[in-house]
Amino acid sequence: MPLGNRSSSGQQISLDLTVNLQRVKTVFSQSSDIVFREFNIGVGQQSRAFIVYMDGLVDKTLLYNCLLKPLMYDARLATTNPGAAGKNTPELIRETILAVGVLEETADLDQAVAAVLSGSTALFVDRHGAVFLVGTRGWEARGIEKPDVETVVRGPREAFTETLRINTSMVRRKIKNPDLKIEAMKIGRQTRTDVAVVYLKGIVNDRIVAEVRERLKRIDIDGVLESGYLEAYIEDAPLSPFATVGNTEKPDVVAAKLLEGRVAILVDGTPFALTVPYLFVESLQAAEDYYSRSIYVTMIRWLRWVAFFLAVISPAIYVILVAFHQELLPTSLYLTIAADREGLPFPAVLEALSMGIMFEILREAGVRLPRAVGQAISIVGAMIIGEMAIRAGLIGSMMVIIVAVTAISGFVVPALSDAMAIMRLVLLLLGGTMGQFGLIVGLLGFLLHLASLRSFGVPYLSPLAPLTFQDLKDVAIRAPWWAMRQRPRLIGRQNPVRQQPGQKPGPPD
Amino acid sequence: MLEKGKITARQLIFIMLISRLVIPTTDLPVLTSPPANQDVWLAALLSPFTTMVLAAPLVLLAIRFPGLTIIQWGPLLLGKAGVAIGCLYVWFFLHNAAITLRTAAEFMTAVPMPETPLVVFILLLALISAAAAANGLEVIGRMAELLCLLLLAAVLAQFVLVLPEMEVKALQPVLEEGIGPVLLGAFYVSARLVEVLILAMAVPYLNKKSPKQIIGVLAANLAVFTVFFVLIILAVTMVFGAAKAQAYSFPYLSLSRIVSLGDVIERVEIIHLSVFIMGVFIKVAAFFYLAVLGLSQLMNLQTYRPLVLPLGALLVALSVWLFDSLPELTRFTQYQVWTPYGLLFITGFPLLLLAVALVRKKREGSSSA
Amino acid sequence: MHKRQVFYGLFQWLKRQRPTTERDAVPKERVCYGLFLLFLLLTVAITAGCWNWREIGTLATVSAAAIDLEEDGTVVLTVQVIKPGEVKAKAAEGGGGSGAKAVTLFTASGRTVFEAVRAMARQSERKLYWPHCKLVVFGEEAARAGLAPLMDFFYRDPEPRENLWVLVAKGKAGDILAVEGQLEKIPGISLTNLIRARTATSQVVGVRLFEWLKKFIAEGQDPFATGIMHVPGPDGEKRLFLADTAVFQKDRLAGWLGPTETRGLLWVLGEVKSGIIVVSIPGEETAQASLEILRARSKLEPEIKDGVLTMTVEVEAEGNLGEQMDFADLTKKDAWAALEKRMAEVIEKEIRAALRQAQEEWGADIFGFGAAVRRKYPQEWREMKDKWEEIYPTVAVEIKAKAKLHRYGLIQ
Repeated sequence: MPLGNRSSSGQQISLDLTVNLQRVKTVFSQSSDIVFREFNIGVGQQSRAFIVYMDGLVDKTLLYNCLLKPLMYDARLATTNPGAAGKNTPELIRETILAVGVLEETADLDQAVAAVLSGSTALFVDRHGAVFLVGTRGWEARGIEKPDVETVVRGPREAFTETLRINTSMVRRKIKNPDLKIEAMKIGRQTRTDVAVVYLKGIVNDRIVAEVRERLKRIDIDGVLESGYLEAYIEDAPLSPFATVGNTEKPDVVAAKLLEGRVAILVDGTPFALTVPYLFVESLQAAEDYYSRSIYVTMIRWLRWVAFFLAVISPAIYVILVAFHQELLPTSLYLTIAADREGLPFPAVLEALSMGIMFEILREAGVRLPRAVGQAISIVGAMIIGEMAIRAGLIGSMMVIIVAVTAISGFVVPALSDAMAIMRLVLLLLGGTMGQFGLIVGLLGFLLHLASLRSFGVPYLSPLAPLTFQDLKDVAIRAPWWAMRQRPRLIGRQNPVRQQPGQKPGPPD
Repeated sequence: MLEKGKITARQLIFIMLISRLVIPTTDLPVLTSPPANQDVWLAALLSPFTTMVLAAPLVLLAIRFPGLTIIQWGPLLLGKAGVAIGCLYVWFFLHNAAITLRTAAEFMTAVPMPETPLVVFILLLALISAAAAANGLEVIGRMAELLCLLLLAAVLAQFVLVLPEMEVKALQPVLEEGIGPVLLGAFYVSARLVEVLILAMAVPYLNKKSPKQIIGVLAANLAVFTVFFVLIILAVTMVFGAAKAQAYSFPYLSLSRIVSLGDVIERVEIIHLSVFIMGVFIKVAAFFYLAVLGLSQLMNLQTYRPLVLPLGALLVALSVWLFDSLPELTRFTQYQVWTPYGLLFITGFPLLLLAVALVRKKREGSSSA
Repeated sequence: MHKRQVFYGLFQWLKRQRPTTERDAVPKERVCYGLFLLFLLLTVAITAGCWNWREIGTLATVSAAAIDLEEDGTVVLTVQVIKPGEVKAKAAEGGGGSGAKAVTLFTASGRTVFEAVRAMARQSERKLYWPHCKLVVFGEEAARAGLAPLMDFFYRDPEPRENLWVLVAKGKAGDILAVEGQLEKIPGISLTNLIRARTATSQVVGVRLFEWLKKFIAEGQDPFATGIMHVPGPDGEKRLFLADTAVFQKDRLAGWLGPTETRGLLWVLGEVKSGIIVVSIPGEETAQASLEILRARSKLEPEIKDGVLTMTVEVEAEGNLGEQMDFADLTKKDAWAALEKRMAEVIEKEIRAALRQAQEEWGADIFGFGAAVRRKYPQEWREMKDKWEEIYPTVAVEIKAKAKLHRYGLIQ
């Protein structure tokens, strides 16, 4: 890949050390964090050499102890070793002196520069036409911490960090199987971001992996700063409010999805990993579901569906009942609401809209403010505004209740919060203008959209439509682990059996 | 390929089910067709058998040519004349969709939103149905899968809710006018079975096309439909009595308005209304799709997409223009007018085509012998 | 261009259309189409709603309606409209004021019911809103003239619901609406509760609109309705009282059934749910015992022998001993059986009373004899049906009443 904006220099490593040094210095001119160290190696210190590395990207201890020290110091001893006779310096370096794990050689200057930018150290030896690239990566990174967004009550609390290698290592720890393949790519002309495509060979559908590879290869942009960039380029329906690519920051979630036959994409620089294919029902599942008791989790799953619908249609339903179809309320409820709305100045739609906007503003403000203050302010703000608005006679108390219900329900399904916000708005507008008919038409419209989506070839609404009863074990309810014997049908088709039958536990006979 | 999608047998059954259940949940024209008394449910019960008979030519043709739609049989068997038949079928599909749209709009205007002009309902429903059709048969199938269960559950729920009001006495005397009118009634019910045409058009896109599948789809559809149809009729007859039920414009809707359990569960007609609109959507989407698909097959187009918009506009125009008022619509859907019209397409043309196919086969058989 | 060329060109264009592949970026035509459709949709949606949009605060909610007929045929409609703000208002503190009234009355007249409804707009500031109307009271005069034409509005218009209660007032219906309820702020709801409580004695009927209609339309059946009047209460103000049952012949009021006869009617229909039968205690003829009715079943069997029609009414009732104003031990076998026999006798008496009035005096087939005949003898019914008005009053009725007593409560 061409290096940044510069066309490939195509330069080979020269045999002359000074020339090499000059060239490298030109490439890295005006960067203060690049370090050049010239020294002599060899018995009589007759070979000249220099290393190039990026301060801040290398593990200096490793560099000094395993690279410089052996070369500068131990090399002198090496030549007294009879086995060393007949080997020239580069050979010796390669085979005996450098006590490091990752050692590559290249004759291409661009490759060497790229390696240095990634944290390797380049070792140039006089009269040797290749440069040694020593793996010395090591930089300051955030340690493995608790997940920020996906908190759990029971389950592992590690979350990915911004370093790709650490993340891949976390996945490796979950699946100790040589079939776990981690393919590397670099994406982004300027950023050359490391991207890893992870899958379990033998379980995954090879066509999906091929499709992922193909879509990633097509990307030709300046930079990839976050997995969201990739998501935008590989997803099936860029204009849809619904995500067809999933993301998570927990390695156990990634591992679980890999075991079902999905493909994960890890991106250097962000703790959020992508998983494909991603289906609608996954947004209503949480990692914790699999660690808790199945009956309780089944209840909670239904609750999530209810919450989802509440969050999406509550404002619309309220407006419909109040402004169009009052005959649908039982009489006493009707009277309560009528009394509540006596004398209010604004039509219901407007009220609902403005309260919705107010709420979104408060929520956004809460997110942007520093942690402790933010929560308090948004809560207090909401309460006060709501209370005062009622007092002032601008809004009915029912409306505030509805908004609160909507908001809280929305938090139950965070994965869909963007989609829900859009749905809520559209349904509110439709319901507010066309009554119940508008609401139904709106719902049908969204359903239609969902039904026409596919995520990497898999219909977005499976297993609800097409109806696959067997997969519903993980959607409608959460069947106990011993009952989920097969992988999701459309994704894990290659290796359908997940576990052996007869696993249900019981007292000993 | 005009349509790349495939649908499963189950999805097809669901599409057909919904299409057929939509009308009974509105104006139940069967109540006024013979025997027009409390034995109507018996007529409904016997209808699957008459339907099998009436749909036989269609099914046989479908088995014979599983890779072609009904539109394509015409040109295949009769050449130019067949194209004309194909056009008639396209018209029939469009007409059906338009009538359904109009019925739905009248329904909405009757009760929940009386002052809104019909066009609004028709336009919005047509828009969304056309969008669904444009997305292809698979999408319609998927949505049908989701919505059909809802519809069936709603019918069941309503049946259960009105149980307290039902009087078995209202069903007596059984066979008051004898078995003759009942059989005739069963026949008239079958004449409304336009959804077998959906089967005929969709066979090429079924997952598995064996004769057993095709007949199985029809049988399953008839079985489930009859159960629910009878339930609906029973509910309406037993609560209102046959005479009064006929007086209602929308008997099933009035049924849901009656429900009042302990003062809390009232006004459940909203469930009925919502589910009804969903059903209408599927039916219109299905028939509209068939019309578009059929026309594009007749014209040998590469894709049916460009036809969606013009046919959609035509659909809306038809719905509005065909009937001037509700009584006119009702008169058209009464059995006197509808039966010959529907039968022509369900049995008439297929019979003709089947005859031609058989003759051809004989000819081929004798010539190769 | 020639028309044929246009069509041909169009046809060729259509033929050339290829399916869009997945990878294409959104082409400009698609975006334009989409925007146009969106625009269309928005226009439709925004302008559409204004037709049926009505804020809850703009409605005059009717909780009860009353219809009277003047001598010249004018329909007088009185409606009881709820003032939502006052409904939940708490009573004033100290002193016993019950606060402002929660309802107001409006009256208007017209040649038809619907005309009167619209005429209301000249007085009521808001449009009448019917779905929460719980009952309709018809004046006695209106009932005598025939109720069917007056009812049409209530079941043709989608707003009023078919399960509102039908009542006939003794006197003018409008006066009934003016009476306040005791326990509820809204008289309409009070009345509804009153009607619902009818099973306490089973001497009052409750008929809903669709039930009334069902009986009216069906062959061989006549409708009836709850009667209502107002009586002076202890404080001098008027109170509502569910009185006799209004019996109709077809749709005209024929007469009123008193409490005993009403229960007789309900026995025949099998709709007695509860109530008290007072019998004299066997052996102590001056003391009374109260028998509580638990449930009752009835069967109506017509029988045609030699062209003569007889009806057999079988009633089976179950009950408990509720109270005895005496100390006799009634649990002894004979006493218990005697009690049961007396209960059955009372039942038979009540039914006879009802039959005497409804069948013989007024010729109103509220029991459904005709319908029963139709169910069992459809052929004969077809011949009888035109002469049913003459046949019905002469039909002999045989009553077989059986009673069974179960328990006697906490003491013996």
